[in-house]
Amino acid sequence: MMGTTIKKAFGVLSLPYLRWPLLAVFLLTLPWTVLIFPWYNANNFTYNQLNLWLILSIVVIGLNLLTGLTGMISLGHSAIYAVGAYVAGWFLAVMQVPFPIAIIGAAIGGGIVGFILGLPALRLSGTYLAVATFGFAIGVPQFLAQSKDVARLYGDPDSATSKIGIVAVPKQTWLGFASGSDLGRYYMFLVVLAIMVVLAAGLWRSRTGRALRAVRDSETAAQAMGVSLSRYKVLAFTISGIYAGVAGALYSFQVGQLDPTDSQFAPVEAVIFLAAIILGGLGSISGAIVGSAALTLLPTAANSATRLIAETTGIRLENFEAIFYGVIIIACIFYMPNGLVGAFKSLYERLTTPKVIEVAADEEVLESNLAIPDDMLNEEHKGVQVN
Amino acid sequence: MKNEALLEIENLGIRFGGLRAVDNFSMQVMPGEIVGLIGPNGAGKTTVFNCISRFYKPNEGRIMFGGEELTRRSADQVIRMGIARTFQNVELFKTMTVLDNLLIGQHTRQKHSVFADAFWLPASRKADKQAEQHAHEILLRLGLEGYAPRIVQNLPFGVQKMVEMARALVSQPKMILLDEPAAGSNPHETYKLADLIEHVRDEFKVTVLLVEHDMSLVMDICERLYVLDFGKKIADGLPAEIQNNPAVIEAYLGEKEEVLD
Amino acid sequence: MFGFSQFFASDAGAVFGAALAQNKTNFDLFTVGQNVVNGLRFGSIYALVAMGIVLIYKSSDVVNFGHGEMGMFCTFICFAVLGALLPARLSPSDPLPTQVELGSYLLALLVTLAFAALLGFVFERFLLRPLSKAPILSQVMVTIGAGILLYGFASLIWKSDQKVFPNPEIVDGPPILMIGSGIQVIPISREVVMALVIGGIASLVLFLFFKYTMVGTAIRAMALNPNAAKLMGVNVGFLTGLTWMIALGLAAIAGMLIAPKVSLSPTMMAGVAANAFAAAVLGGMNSLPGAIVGGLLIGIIDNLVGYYFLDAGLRGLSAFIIIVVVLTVRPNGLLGKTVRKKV
Repeated sequence: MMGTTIKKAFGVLSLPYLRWPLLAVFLLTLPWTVLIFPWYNANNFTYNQLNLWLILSIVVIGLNLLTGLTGMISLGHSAIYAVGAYVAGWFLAVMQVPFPIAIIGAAIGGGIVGFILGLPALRLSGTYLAVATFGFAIGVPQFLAQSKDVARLYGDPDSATSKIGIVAVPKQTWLGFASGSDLGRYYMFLVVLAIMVVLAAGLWRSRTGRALRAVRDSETAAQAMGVSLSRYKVLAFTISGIYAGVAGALYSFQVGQLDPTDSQFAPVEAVIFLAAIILGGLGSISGAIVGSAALTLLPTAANSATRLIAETTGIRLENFEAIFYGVIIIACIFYMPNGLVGAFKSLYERLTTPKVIEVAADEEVLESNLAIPDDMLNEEHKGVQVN
Repeated sequence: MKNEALLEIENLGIRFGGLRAVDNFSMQVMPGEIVGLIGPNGAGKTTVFNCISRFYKPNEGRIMFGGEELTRRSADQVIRMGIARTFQNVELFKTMTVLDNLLIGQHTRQKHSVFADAFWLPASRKADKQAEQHAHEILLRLGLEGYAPRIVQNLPFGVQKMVEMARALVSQPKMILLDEPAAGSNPHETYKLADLIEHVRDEFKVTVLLVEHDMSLVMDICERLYVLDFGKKIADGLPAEIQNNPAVIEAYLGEKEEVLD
Repeated sequence: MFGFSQFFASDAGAVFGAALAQNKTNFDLFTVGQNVVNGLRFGSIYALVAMGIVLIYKSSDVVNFGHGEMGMFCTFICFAVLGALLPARLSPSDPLPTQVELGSYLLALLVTLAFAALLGFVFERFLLRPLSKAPILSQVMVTIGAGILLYGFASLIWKSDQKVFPNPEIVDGPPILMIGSGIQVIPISREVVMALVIGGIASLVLFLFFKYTMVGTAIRAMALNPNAAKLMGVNVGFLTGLTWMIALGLAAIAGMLIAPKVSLSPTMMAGVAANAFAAAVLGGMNSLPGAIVGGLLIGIIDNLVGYYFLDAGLRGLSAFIIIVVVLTVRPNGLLGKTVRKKV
């Protein structure tokens, strides 16, 4: 009874011609509807959060292709993200091109770095790969902070006014989208996210997506089916690099000034990417978006709570986000191994599937089930039943 | 030169550490045959398969398929040459559906690019539609149609083995390697399986090379046999001859003695 | 934007570099030698952490990405114990003296080791073992999550500022050894000697333990083949817990050795852990001697690169490059053993 009611209630979501318009309306009005929650008010901080959510979603979708679909762990994508930001920064500050070109440039840059990171992946697996990519994540921000060669690309590093690694990113307006305003950026990022989602969905449901999953499930069988392991592993890294690069470009617009010590470029960010995947659901595009929302928007609520506690009781809780992330990660691993999306799906199925079908499924297992059609059998074996 | 061998193995040898797993092994399979490779446990039968599949690199000898040298190719190129296989411990893609497994089986038949996939180009969608159609045809012929949307992991072992055979057939190979197809089947299922393999050979025009432990299946459908013991060929010929071959009986009896101990 | 912005951040490397960088072109024996000595000192500390990482990898088959933070937290516990033991301060928020008498130091060390053992046992038993059948990603993430959590608690309890952490009194005094002659002399301070000696003792003790004791041999057997070990009556669960306790004890000692030099703070171990991972991989993840060799090598290389190539910014990447190059040529590290997989 309750099952059918729930089904009817959620039924509206399953109708494609209703689902997408509803989603579009929701996303387009989000900058205003989010103000319902008391800890958000119409200020830059809130829109900053929304924009960061969109940016994080893009990285996490790409990373999910690598980790969820292909099964390879990378702790190095924060570095690719940083490279994307700096490449975009170069295109905007030095070459002064319209920002779509900067985004494409960052995508290519990210893809190249992803490709480079993918090459060791052919030799290393599992935790060895995680350690190597982690080293990359640590090394790249340091490199950006200290390298005079890189600084030279953006101007004279020895002059009194410039600091190594700091890049100012100019604002632009292009085709109605103003990268100088939070709202303008929100819609611009939304468009980019939509494009990246469509591309990802295209990969997911197709030959490429299947090949990547095959690599994850059984390298032996994948090869026997003609899937080249090296080709697809490097491809997964390259594509995830493209996504991280694009996200980095968007971040450069958002933040206006690039600083290698920015926490978004630190190795811990790579951990947050993975946490978003786990939280949302391994191997799921919607999971990537949901997980990213949880990890950018929830801390805001937590921060407000911390501030409230500080104001009323005078106790200052420092670095509360660390405890927050730690608890979320560990809780998610134990209680929601399939992420929020997976948990939601199981809940939906449990509430809406009548019991009868479950019993029949058990019985099926007990019987012999080689139901070979008769025309594939010789005369003497046709129509003979087992047991 | 009529009746050239489809698969030709010449003096194959492979060592693991100090152990000779396969020693100076030669065999031939003619197009359209059903040939069996038998021998006691650990004789090296699956090792030969793994050499054909290029998972192992032999130390000596070479393998020719359809006139081309297989030993130069990498593991992922084997199916492109026309050889598909099943595995002793069912290597299906466990988290995916039966249908998806059969779609991956057609990976090499789909020629469009990653680009086409990402951008939802017609080439990609058409290729997938055709692949799905073909997959359903094969599933129907093997009686697996109802299992198409089911996740492989949850299926009974016997069904999984059939799905693996379907996945091998779906790439329209010239030859299929079956690694212990009857493992885990009861005698009645084995009869049906034997019939199935013969009909598959006839209908799909594939050559069959199988490794098997179950003698009833082997004697029933194999037209020729090769017998391995400790990596060496100890006999080859017609099933009737092999049955009465003293060396073969010795090899299997030796195995039985070990079991009794 | 997020408060813990310096977590694992790049400036950990800057701390080391700033202390040494003067001019960058003198490749004479003296300067190189000085760098090597310093490299050995830090390398010894990396080795201690790396040994712990390798021990955990051998027994639980997982890389403990939170190892640095666990060591850091234990060092804070030591700090708290020392604070309680030393009566002479005016208020609890005053800094500790830079040296304390040996007795107090050893007592604090004992308490810290006990805490480290407890932490290791609890984590392995209640957070890692339940996940033994879960995918690798879950296991990796739980170690990371624990690290982040401990970082958060350390910041919460002791705040993020840099604190003075003392050495034992024996460190006070003229350098013990001098290499070279005349004006070109490389002093080897007592601090350096202490680091090397402790590292050496720890290595020796572990070596003897694993080779000659029943428990040690059992742990080795368990690492090679857990199922066979179980069948032989080895209590795998207990031994795994014991291995974790030892590993964290080593990390705590490493923390106590490095804190006087870089100041105690929640981010203290980040740079050390990074180099320790590189060292463990370099030496071979399943080789304890490899961790020692790797640690010393990485210490030396890191110091040399940081000194001579500071403006190329290569210091951070040098660890990564080393890892990739070594693993390409020898996938199991310098001293690691190949594990053959059955097809």
